[in-house]
Amino acid sequence: MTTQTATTTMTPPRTEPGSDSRIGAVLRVHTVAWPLLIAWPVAILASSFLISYTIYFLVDNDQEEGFTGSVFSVYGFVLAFYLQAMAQTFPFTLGMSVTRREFFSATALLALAQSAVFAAALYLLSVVEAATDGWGVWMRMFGLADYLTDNPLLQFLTIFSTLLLTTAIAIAAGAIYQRWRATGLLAAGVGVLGLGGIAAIVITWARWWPAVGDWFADSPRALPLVALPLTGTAIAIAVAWLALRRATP
Amino acid sequence: MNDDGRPLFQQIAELVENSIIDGSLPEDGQVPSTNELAAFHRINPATAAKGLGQLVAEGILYKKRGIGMFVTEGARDALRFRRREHFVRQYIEPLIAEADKLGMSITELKSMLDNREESR
Amino acid sequence: MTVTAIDAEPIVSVRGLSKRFGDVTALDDVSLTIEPDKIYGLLGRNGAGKTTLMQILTGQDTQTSGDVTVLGGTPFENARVLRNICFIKESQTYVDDLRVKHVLAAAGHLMPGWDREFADRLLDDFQLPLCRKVKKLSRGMKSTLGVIIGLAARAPLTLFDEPYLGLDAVARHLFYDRLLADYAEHPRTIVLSTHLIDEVSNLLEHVIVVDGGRIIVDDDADALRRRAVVATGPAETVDAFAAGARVLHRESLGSQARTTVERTATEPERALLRAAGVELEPVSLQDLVIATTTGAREITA
Repeated sequence: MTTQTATTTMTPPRTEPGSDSRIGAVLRVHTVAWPLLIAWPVAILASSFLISYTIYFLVDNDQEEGFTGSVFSVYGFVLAFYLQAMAQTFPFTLGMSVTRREFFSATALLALAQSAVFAAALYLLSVVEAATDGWGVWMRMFGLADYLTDNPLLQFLTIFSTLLLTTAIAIAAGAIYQRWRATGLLAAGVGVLGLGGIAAIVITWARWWPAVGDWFADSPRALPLVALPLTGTAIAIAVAWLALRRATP
Repeated sequence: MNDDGRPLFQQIAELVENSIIDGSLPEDGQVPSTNELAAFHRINPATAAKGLGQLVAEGILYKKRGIGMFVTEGARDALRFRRREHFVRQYIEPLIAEADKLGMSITELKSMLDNREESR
Repeated sequence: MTVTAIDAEPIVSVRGLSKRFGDVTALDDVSLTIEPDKIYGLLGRNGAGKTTLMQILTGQDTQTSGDVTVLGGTPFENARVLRNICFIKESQTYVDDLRVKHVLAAAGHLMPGWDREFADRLLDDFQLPLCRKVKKLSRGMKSTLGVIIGLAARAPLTLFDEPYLGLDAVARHLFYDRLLADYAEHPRTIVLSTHLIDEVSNLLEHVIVVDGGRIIVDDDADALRRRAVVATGPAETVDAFAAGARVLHRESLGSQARTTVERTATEPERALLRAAGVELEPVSLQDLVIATTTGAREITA
């Protein structure tokens, strides 16, 4: 039977906590159930692939490629994931004494990495698809980007930047909700639609639609395919940070 | 634990004293540590420490560095003596007061006690 | 037991803190200090401002005015300070799709002092299922999860804000036991905010009572208990005893009165009073808090 004589250290360890290690920690929190991150999108894609394949196999469509659009489910998954990250992982980590800056950085990093990985996977699948003549049944599921461009790098970057834009929108929406709750989100939605509506009205009234169309058609492919989504991403991320930095869960 | 007017740490001190008086804590024997007392009685360790500290200050316990607290030799007798004085205040005086209320004299009390002693 | 640093600097120092939400003043010119390695009770009624105070101390919200210093810095967005704080609140959000083991793993990544074995022992004690998803947990189980995280994190500053919603009495007492035992082995600063004052009163070393956004009690628990008594007996005698001292509460029935009064009595006085038919009883911490908050009367430390 011994008595414990413990010295208390009332000040925490004095080494500057690598903010990096905290960001790393938040990354690990995001991916702690990593099978979910991979398993879900794979499962969704696989099942819609199988269904579409079966349909295409059974219905003869004369070697005319038909586009299934089921690849958009990946976009849907990404949207849902980041919305949930903002709705739940953010308040959770804040309760575990993570700063908003650390959370934001980690989430943005994850978005970048995830978009790159998914884009690479989708691009590779589209290459295989093209090489096998639409999986042998003239099905077109992954070959989105080569409607728009022949450049393989651009194809990859298009998928990447559109995925990234989706994550950014989800993060921004989540951040607005955390800061200003439903009212804020509603206001933001109305604002965006309003601006879009006004822009459409102005463009119509000034008869600029042809000019807009020309710009899309004539400018170097990279501009509307990659630069545009990336600009949108930057705006959305800026909005997200402005909202998040003072959010109280 | 708290049904008394006195502070918790004093109650702890008293419990330890009781154990010394009734012999369950022998002289030169080791006393439970503050943490053990705190856990057992479900009180803050600082309170338990205060109680033991009071006994150390009164010389009832002594500290062996790195090992724990022990009962001083002669503590039992010292405590018994002190308790006797307390006994008067705690039991005798209220006894007399209550007897007065009931209209009994000290002589009557005495004969009550004598009767008791015979049937012991 | 423990040897604290000789010149113990307060771990929390608050001065002139106010917090307003629109035209509601949640905290009004609050000043207090919290010393290291003690168990503090933060008591008070619903809506008194306890949660707001804790949120500001842990950087989850910011003050309208005043200074807050925690662990030598301002808590808001301050990673150096925050990594040493663990704040468990009643309405803690978890990620619904994660399982209990994931949540604990996450806590392990985020809290530097995390003790995995301790967490496992607590899981066992509280019988919390490792593999269940958070969304399937009952209210009580979620509270249990929070309590386990708060204990196993071993954060130098740990705050619990009414962490036992849904916990039954057995689980609560298990929590107090584990808290005490671990605090004894690994001293740290603990702030416990609760309604269940009598349950925790023996655990507390220092008591802070908040009422209407103000601090009305800030004192050592033992000293507080000794400050007041409840005198019951013939009204005249009781009132004579209470004369000149601050009366916190008084009731009467016929010729009898019962008064909670801020004064003490020596042994001889007690004996005399007893002879006069007046019994003196200690005031429980809960009664003290009730008496001071309903009457909003100040007991200055």
